Amino acid sequence: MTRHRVRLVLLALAVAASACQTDGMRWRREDVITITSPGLREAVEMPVLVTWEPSPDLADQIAQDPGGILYGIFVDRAPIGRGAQLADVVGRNCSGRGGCMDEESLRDRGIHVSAIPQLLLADLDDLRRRGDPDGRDVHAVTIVVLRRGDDREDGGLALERADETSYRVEFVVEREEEA
Amino acid sequence: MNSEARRFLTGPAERGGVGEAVRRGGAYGLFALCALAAIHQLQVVAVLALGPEIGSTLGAGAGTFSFAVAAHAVGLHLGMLRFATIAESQPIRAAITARSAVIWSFLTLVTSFASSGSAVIAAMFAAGFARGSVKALHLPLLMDTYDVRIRGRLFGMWTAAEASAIPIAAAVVGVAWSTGGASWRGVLVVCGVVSLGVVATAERLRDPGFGAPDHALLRAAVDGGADGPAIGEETILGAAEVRRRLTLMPSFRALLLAYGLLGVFLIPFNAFMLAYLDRRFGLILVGRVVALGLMWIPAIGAALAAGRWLDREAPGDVGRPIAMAAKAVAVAGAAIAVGALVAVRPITFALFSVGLASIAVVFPLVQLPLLTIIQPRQRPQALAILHTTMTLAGGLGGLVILGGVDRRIGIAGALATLIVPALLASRALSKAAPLVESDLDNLLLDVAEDERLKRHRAAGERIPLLRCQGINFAYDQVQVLFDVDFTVDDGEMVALLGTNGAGKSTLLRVISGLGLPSRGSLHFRGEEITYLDAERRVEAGVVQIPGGRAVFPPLSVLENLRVYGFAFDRDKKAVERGIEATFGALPRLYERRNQPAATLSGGEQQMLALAKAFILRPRLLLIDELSLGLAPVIVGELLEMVRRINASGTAVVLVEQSVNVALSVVDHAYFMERGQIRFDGKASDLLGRPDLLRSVFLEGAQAGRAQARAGA
Repeated sequence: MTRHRVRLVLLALAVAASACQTDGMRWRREDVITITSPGLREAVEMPVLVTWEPSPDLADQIAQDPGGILYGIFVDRAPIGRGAQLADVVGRNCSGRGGCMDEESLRDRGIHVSAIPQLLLADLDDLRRRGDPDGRDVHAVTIVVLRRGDDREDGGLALERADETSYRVEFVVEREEEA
Repeated sequence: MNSEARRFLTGPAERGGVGEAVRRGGAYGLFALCALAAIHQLQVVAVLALGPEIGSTLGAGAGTFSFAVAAHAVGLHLGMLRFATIAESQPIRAAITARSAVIWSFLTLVTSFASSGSAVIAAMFAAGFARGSVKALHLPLLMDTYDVRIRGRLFGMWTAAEASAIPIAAAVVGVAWSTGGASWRGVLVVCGVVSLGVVATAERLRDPGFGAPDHALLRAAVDGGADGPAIGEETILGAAEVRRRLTLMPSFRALLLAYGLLGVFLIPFNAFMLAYLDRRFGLILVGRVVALGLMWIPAIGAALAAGRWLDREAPGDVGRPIAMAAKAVAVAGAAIAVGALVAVRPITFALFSVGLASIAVVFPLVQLPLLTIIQPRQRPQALAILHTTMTLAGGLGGLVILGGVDRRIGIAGALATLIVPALLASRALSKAAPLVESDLDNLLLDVAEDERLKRHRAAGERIPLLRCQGINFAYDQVQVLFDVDFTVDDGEMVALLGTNGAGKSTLLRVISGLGLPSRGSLHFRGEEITYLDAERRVEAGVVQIPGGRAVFPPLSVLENLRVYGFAFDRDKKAVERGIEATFGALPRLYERRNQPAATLSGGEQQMLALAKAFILRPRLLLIDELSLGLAPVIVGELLEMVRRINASGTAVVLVEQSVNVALSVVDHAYFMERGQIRFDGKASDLLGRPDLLRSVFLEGAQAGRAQARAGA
């Protein structure tokens, strides 16, 4: 490869790199949320209570803006990316369904929104056959902080992921063998 | 000479001191290449370890990161093939190595800024492509830089460095994540910075040129002294020519199969082992990567030991290391199968470590003998093809199969079943071992012949225009030519005679490049052309007129002539000049210039075919069955044309069944029977060999009787 070509490649890479959005990127892990239960890979029984603690800073923000900051809990699915809205997941064209940013529509997609640091998962799919060939029912919960934006025209909630930190826990559901 | 050269090439029995030999070649090159090999996995390991974290940040599913790792593997092998191709023609391997390392390090840094899953995939693919230089170019560079006597240890050291890549990457990722509190972006920044820091030390790498140590030793072996003239410029093959040349080697074909089976064994093992550590022992994220790193540590020592063994035990015997590698693969398969089934953490870890250590020794044990029997320029291609076969053919197949097994019987059972491809790969390696020996002999014969011709030329001695030596050729499993020696001098007209099916036309195909020999060498004007494409041979001056009517029937005479010209010369004016010269010499073709070739008589069609010689002006013209089916008067006219072509300086090989026709125009004749040259001498002497000619006459007489019966 000639020196000229190498310079061109490096220039292209530099341009590509400069196109990346760097603001809001986290280079260190921040414990804004600490998941308190269940523990990592803990064996649990249904229903599963997921609890977490916000950091003092986050707790202050929530106290100052009640309803403006919420928790988004994503069960067995990837969360939305930083800056994305929940509406991106359910689809923006919700006419005819009376608005689809309701709790039920989100829950159907493995998404829960909570104002308090806990969530009871009463119903989880049995993943033993689908996910883990060795017969364990492993589930993953990812929690992110959501910020409420202006109300949307369709009446739904404009909830946007606030930053790129996320908190994940995997646990194993022990089920009684079906007869 | 052979035993001498073999001893030199495969390393003399006396063991050289590694320190002194490395200093002679410059310790920097070894250090730099090992350093690059040791840190080239940082990005991959970081993404493997932190995939779920990255996914949570970017809103991408777990599948995205499996795809990113797969994209990296595809990029890696495309890069290997590309770099191997670039590095064939010029000694720029060191420059490629150093600069591509800067690129993959920079891309590691860039990955930390990714804002989407697709950006991570793109960065991984590009970095994989750049990393192709590591596997394709490092070992050939080491071979060309250092003394043959320490090659085993060099391979061992480099493989140890490569085996340390996972532990080093696991340590960097583990420290940055656990101790440093870095996010996945922070971990990738650390990896990128570490990587850039190390690759900066490789900037002063210099390419030593192709095969200097091998050439010096072979020169010594040919003449018994190393003070002869340097071996001249070798023929540089294109990528496709190299691939064809390699796949003609029985040992390479056998090793391709072995690598494919190794891929079925190794690639799924690497992929499923992480899942196994998770499911059986609850190790996730960085924890399982650190466990993987710890398991790789014994492989470092094993690779070093394999290198020492190669230098101590294997000199002069290129098959033995491959046979040893076969045993190592079987051990690896057994250790992994038992380890997976036991599922007791310390025992499983210990057995997996044994498996990984056994795998680590396989590569130096196979690659050193293999690369020894391959010409220096072609070594990167050989490595690229083998690794690509292993990963993309064997590996992908293995992943699909093992995925199915996993779903049926679980991951432990799936890992245990890997013993099947391991044993098959072991068997394939055992079969390849003896083939390497015979391919080494073939290489030495070719090199010695090449060297002899170059020495003659350097000394101003006359060398033949064409020299075919020891040619074997087979159509699939049916061997047609057996150890054929055939020589044509400059300006000479030679007859190649023989019965039907004797191999005359096949020999012409081998000379013109339409068929490649399974053994032996061809030199044209002193340059080796054994594996050159037919097109390049035409450019070099070898033109064949095939048997039958070698014209394009629907095209006019003029169009036929233009096709000959434009096929190999884009200069329109030169083509038109050639056509004018043809029409000047062959007025009958001028009269028929606008007629379709199909409407010409048999003699005119042959005349048109011969006109190729006027357009292309070859140094060597190969004419197959000129007189077939033509009246004697026409044959006489055509022979007159051939005489004129020959008189203008073109050497001619005339393949004929008609002894009378052939011997009337040549002084030198060859006679072939059942794929062998039975006579090589003056044409007049052949006429005195009724034992040979009888078969032709008898065949001719039988054909005549058959014709007569048909007429009646």
